[in-house]
Amino acid sequence: MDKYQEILSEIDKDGNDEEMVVVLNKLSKYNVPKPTAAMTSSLLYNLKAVLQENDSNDGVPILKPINRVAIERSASDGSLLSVLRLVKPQLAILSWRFMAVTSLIIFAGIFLTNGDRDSLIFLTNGAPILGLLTLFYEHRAELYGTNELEASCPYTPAQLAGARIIVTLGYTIIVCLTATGMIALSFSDMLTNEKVLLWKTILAWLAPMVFFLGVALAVSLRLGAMYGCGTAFIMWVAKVIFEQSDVGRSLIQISLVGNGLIQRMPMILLVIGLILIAIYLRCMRVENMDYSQEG
Amino acid sequence: MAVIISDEELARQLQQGNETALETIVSRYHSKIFSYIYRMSKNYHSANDITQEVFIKICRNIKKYNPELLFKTWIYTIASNTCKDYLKSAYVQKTIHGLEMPDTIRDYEDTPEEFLQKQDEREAIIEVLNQLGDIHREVVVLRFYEDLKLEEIALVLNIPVGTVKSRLSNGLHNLKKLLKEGGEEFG
Repeated sequence: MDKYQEILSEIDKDGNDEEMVVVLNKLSKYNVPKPTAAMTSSLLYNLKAVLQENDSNDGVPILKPINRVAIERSASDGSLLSVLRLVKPQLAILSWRFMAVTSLIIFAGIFLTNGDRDSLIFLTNGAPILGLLTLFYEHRAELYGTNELEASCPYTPAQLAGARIIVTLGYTIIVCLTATGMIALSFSDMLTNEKVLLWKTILAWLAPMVFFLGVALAVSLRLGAMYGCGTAFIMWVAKVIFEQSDVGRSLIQISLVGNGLIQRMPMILLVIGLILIAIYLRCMRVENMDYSQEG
Repeated sequence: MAVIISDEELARQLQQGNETALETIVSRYHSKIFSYIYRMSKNYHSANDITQEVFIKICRNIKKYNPELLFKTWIYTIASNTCKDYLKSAYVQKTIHGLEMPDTIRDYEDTPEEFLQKQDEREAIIEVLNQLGDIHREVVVLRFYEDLKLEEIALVLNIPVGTVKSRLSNGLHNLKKLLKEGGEEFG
């Protein structure tokens, strides 16, 4: 009865509220079966095994939780063919609507900027965003907590990661190459100096795109793809703002002449991006994981 | 005189890998967590599976537990979240719901008539509890059956104490209404 009065006072009811007392009496009729001794023994047996695993896995976690067995499988399978086999199903994750909308936006931007130098600036700034959006879209299942489910599939996390990078880079490069072609057709100088300028134009958007994708993937090792894309996006915004500033504009002017470090910056960014992607793929194959879950 | 070790001290010992501490924690909480999850999942076998998963998570995450916080609320938080994830899964919604059979609990001192009456009463309250919204049922179960205080429930569910209070109040009022609609007599 004390318990009843306590509950009734918590909901601002009088302890003599007969109807509520009847409700609480009815609730007390709901008895549940208890776990058997065998269930408790079995539970203890399994838990002791987990405790022993804990002891042998004390280390600094590098990645988000992924099934340990799946990671161990990846150590024995480095076949490129298995990764390529995954590309088609991973491509299906990019819905045709996503591809239609994103590529339309890029091509519309080129069209609206008349296919000249402004188009190049648009493409240089737009390519990283397209890459990040594609990466985000490929990994959107993370929002629904599917990492562990994916890790239980026959393909390893490293293979999935490789396939997704191929899809992300492939799609983004195809769209941006097409956009470059549109610019090249409308920008007559580029046709006469075809080799040099086309190469530089491609590098101008490819380098930042690969760099920001590398940053997103590197950050995702610790924080997941969503935060990775978010971090890279913030860095991209900072870059665009910097380029609009006086210092930024001066640096851009300097980069158009001479052969210094600034002129080599696109190549440096490309290399850094590729290194970050390689580190990401390498880490996806590491065995010691922290598979702690919620707590 | 036996000294009763607090849950928080047991958790500290478990963080060091002490198996005796693990056995004590399981003996204290297995039945409680099982009964909580059983009332939320409404299925004996599912409750067994989910309970096992809860304790595995406790063991795997024990080093993340801060001994300055109540161990009880930490365990129930894991149990609540694990149960919700399980109930949300498409597989459960598709295959388990609709296949539930009411479990029978028999006190062997009861006569057959008493057993049947108790079974009817039990099924009646189970039915009205199932008709309650999830957010109300959860608070009612934690408060009435698990004897958690309002402040502890607030920590477990990560909601304000005021919200716990209003959900408890609304839940009990809804139960009263449902029982009346079901023809139950009130005095």
